[in-house]
Amino acid sequence: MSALDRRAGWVFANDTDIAPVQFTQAPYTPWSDNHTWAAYGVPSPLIMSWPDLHFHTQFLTADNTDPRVFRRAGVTTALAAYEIADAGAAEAWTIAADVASRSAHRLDEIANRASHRIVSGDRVRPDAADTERVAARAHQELRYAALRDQHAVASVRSLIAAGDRPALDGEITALGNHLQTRAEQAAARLDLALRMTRQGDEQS
Amino acid sequence: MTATLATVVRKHHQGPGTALTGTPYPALVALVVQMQAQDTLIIFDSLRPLGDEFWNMIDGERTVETIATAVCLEFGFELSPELFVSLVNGMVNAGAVSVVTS
Repeated sequence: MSALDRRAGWVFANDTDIAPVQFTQAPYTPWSDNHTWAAYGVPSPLIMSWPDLHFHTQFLTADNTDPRVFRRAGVTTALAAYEIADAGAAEAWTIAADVASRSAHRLDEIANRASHRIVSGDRVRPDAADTERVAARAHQELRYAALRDQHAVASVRSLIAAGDRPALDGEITALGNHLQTRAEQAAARLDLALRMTRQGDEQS
Repeated sequence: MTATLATVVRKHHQGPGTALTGTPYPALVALVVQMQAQDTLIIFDSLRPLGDEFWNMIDGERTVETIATAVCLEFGFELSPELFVSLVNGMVNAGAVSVVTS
C-alpha cells in the first residue's frame, strides 16, 4: 500500500486534511488479540493505526474518532485480505520475493550490527571473551533467521491451489537458496571483522 | 521426572497457552532475577512474550533447548536455555504438557 503511486489512483487522495498514511513494520510480539490466532498456527499480523491519543482510555468515544480513519483501515485491510485470498502463482511469487528481500536485508543487518559491536567495542573496551560472545551470538542469529525466513518464503505455497504449486516450487527453492547464500556471506563478513579486530589487537 | 534441555514435550490442548502455567508467582520472580543476571534487558513483563512463544513452539518434536534458544533469538534476549527448564517442569506438573522424550 505504501509503495503505491499517490498521484495515480491513491484511494485516500481526497483526505488531504488529515495526517498522511505511512506504513511501518514492527517486530512480532504476542501482546495483542492477534496472539490467539498465532497460537492456532494462523499467521496473524497486528495492524494498528498509530499514534492514537485516546487508545485504551475512556476518551475513545465515537465523537473522538474520524470515520475517514476507519475507512482507511477498512480499505487497507480489505485489500490485503483480498490480495492474499485471490493470489495465484504470480501473486504468491511476488509476495515470496518481497519476504525474501526483507529477509536478506535483515540478515545483513545482523552481521553489520555485530561487526560494529566487535570493532567499536574492541576500541573502547578490549575484551576478547566479549568479542567472541558477540560473534557467536550473531552466527546463531544468522542461522536462526535464515531458516525461519526460508520457511516464511515457502509458506506462500499455502496461498495457491495444489495444482499451481509445482510451477512455483523452483522459484521458492531459488529464493531459499539465495537467503542461505546471503546468510553465509553475512557470516563471512562477520568473521572478517573478527579477524581484523584480532589482528589489530596483536599488533598493538 | 525432571526435564532437561533434551526433553521434548507435547501439549494437552492446542490454541492459546503459556509456558508460565504451573510455575507460582514467587518462582517466576526468582526466575526473572536469574534472567536479569544474564541479560539486563529482562523485566518481569518479558516473561509474557517468552512464555507465550515458548508455548506456541511446542510441537512434540522440538527439544526444550531448541525452543528456548529460538524464543530468545526471536525477542533479542541473551539467556541460557537452562533457565527455561524449570518452566517446563511447571507445565508438566500442572498437566498442561506431557513428556514425549526425556
